[in-house]
Parts: sequence; C-alpha cells; structure tokens
Amino acid sequence: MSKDPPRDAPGCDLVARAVAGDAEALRALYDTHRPDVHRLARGFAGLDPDDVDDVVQETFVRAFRHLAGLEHPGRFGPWLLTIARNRALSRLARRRSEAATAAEFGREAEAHLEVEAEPPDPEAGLELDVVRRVIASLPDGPEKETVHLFYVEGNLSARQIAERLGVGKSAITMRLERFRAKVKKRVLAEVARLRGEGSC
Amino acid sequence: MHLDAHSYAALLEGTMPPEEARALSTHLDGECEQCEGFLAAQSSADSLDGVVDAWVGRALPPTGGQGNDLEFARITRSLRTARGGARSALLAGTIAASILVAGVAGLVASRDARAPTAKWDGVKGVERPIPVRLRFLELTHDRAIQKGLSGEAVDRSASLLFEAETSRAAWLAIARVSADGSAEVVWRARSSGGRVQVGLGGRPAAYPLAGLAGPQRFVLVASEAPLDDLRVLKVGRSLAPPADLAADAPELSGLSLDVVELTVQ
Repeated sequence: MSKDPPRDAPGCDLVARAVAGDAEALRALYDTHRPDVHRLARGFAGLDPDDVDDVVQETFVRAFRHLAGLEHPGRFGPWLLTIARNRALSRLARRRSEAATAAEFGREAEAHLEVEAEPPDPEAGLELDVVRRVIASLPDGPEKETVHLFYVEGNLSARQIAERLGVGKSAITMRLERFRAKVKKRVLAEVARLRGEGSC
Repeated sequence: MHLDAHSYAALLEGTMPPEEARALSTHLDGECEQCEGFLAAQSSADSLDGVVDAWVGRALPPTGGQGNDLEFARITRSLRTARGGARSALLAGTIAASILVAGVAGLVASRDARAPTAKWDGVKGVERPIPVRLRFLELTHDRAIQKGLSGEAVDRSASLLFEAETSRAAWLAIARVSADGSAEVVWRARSSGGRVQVGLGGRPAAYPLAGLAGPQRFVLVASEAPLDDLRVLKVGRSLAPPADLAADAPELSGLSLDVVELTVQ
C-alpha cells in the first residue's frame, strides 16, 4: 500500500468537512468533480444522455455514502472516477445481459476494494506531458480524429461523434478505450518505475 | 515481458520484485500492442483506472458538464433514502397493468398527482429559476414499456408516460405543440417539489399519440405563480418545432422549461 502523502490539500479539507456533515463541502466536491465524471460517462457511446445523467448521479451517491471510508482523502478524484467507470460499465452490462445482477454485485465488491488497492500516484505535472505525448503519437486516422473530437474539442459525446462520423457506437467507444489504454500503459510504466526504485 | 493478469496484479499490489518492476517499466515505456490490448480488454475498472482518468482530466480539462441544483438535490435526496436511483421511482410506479391511457381532458383535470411529501431543501434562495426536468417512458400498443428518448421517432400507436421533476414547489404544466403551431395543454398540477408522475386519480396516466403526425414538442413549464391555460398555450406555441429553445421571448420570462421532442410516425 502506498505511503504517499495526500496530494490535494484543498480536496482533503473538503472531504473532511463533507464527512463531518458540511453540506457546502459536499456541494463543492460535486461542483469540482462533476465535469470529469460527466465526460467519463459520455465516453461510452452505448449510454444515452439519460444514462449518462444516471451514471453521474449514481456515482456521487455511491461516493458520498462511502466517503467516510476513503483512506486517502487527497485521492478523492481518482477514487470517484473509478466508481464512475464501474457504474458506466455496470449499466452497459445490464443492457447486454439479462443476467446482469451477478456482475452488479461483483462490481459493488470491487468498489469497496478500490481505496485499499490504491497504486502510487506518479508525480504531479507528469500527466500533461504523458497525455499530450500519447495524443501526438497517434497516427493520423479515425482514432486520432475521435480522440481529438472527444477530449480536445470536447463538445460532443461519444454517441454524437458516432453519429457525426457515421460509424457504430461501439467503434467510437473502442477508439476512446484504446487511447485510454495507451495512457494507462504509460501510467503503469511510471508505477513500475516507482516500484523498481523501491519508493513505494 | 508482457503484461498479464498476474504481473498486473503484482504491480498494483506492490508485490512485484524491484528488478522485475524496472524491466516492466522499460518495456511499457515503448510501444507494445499486446500490453495495450490487455489493458483495453479489462472489463471492470480498478484503482489505476481512476488515476488514468484523473490524469486525462488534468491534462485535458472537460469543456462542459457543470453541475446543477436539480441533480445535486436528487443526490442529497438519495443519500437520505435507503435506495437511490434516478429512474427507479418512475419505473417502479409504472407497471403496465396499472396505467391509464387518458385523454387531455382527464389529465388536465388532475391536480398534484402523487406529489412527494418530502420538503425541498437542496436549493437556497428564491430568485433563481426553478430547475426542472421532463422525462418519459413509452408505452407501446402491446403494453410494453420502454425508455423514452428525446429526439427519436415514436410510433403513433404508442402512449407516453411523463415524469416532471422540480427542485422546489411550483406550478407545473405540460403543453404539446406541433410544427404547425397547434398546441394543447396536456397536464397541469401543483407540485410540492421532487418528482411527479403525470397521472389521474393517483394512478400513472399515459398520453396517447394517436392522431398526431410529425415533429411534436412536449414543453414542461414551471412557475412560482399559478399557470393558466392561455399562458401555457402561448409558451407552447412560441416553441413550436423547429423554434430555438433558447428563445428569449417575453412570454418565457420568469418561467422554467424543459422540452421533449419527438417525431410521431
């Protein structure tokens, strides 16, 4: 388990106040992080706008219910986004299968483990360089165009991009997930480097 | 060495030997489609996914998606109840067998149908417009219920089950308006805040689309003052499709609106 100090002092304060029942702190956490959660959910083209709203709402309800158990309050953002991703995946799974109840329970259990399994968070400031390098390294083509429309221009949901480009919704989701996998690989390389240095 | 479930878990848990971690770090710094494929194929999110999404969020901040009072209120309401869920109340309450298919006259006659008793406490101040939301379910001719999506085509044999949501007490009305400007008041009610199903006599009531054709807008109007039919119709006509929904017409002054648009075929 990481011994990193919390990175986000204002976030720590907000979480502490929210746990203590401060409604304004709860609202501030919601206002601060809602755009990231919303974008994450919009990246799944299989979710319609109402689904996206529901994922956002379920994410905050779940996070706020378990806020007191958050071990590293400075990592509220990544923790929240993990919950959001699982909420979105659960909703998509429910769509795909009538037997989704088991998967739902499985993910509920994972969500409880998220904090305990927190990996080291590489240095602040590195992300800008890494994410931009990943985008720059994408060859010109549909994947780069999709990433640019969704992340850089940012006005269209994955679903809207599918309509605009005239391709299937799953194709757009896959392109965005491939981009994330490239970023994740670089993040993982950093985590491995830190493990290799024995710093965590 | 490539990533697999074992090495991935060891890396996250911190149980990978340092020399292995260094070798993996060097490998992952380069291009590797196999490792990317492994990561892209993961079916559930773990703690590293949150870090990745947070990195992307810091490097490429979202351009929209700001919060709103209505949603925040819904979240706080859910925290106070045993079970939350944006849609659960609507779905749970709309069992096909119990749904009435009511004409306009019947719906307009209903008042305060199933208004929640919980007092609104999520919004401070009274000057701001009342946040509102209009959602609907589609009841097909064979009594199946499916989620309604604004912007889609709907068969004229279907009926619509509406749910209006407001952040606080308000007078509500739903008007329907066609592209030719013909409008009617579909429903009026006084709500004490929260979700209200359009209903009749305490039961959900569906609005039949029979006899309609082409683009239709259903406009939910909310006001702190009582709404009369004349005003609601005026609002509806000013928003006949394809009018701009951001219109700043005088008749919209002081009102909160949400719109569902459908093409009846």
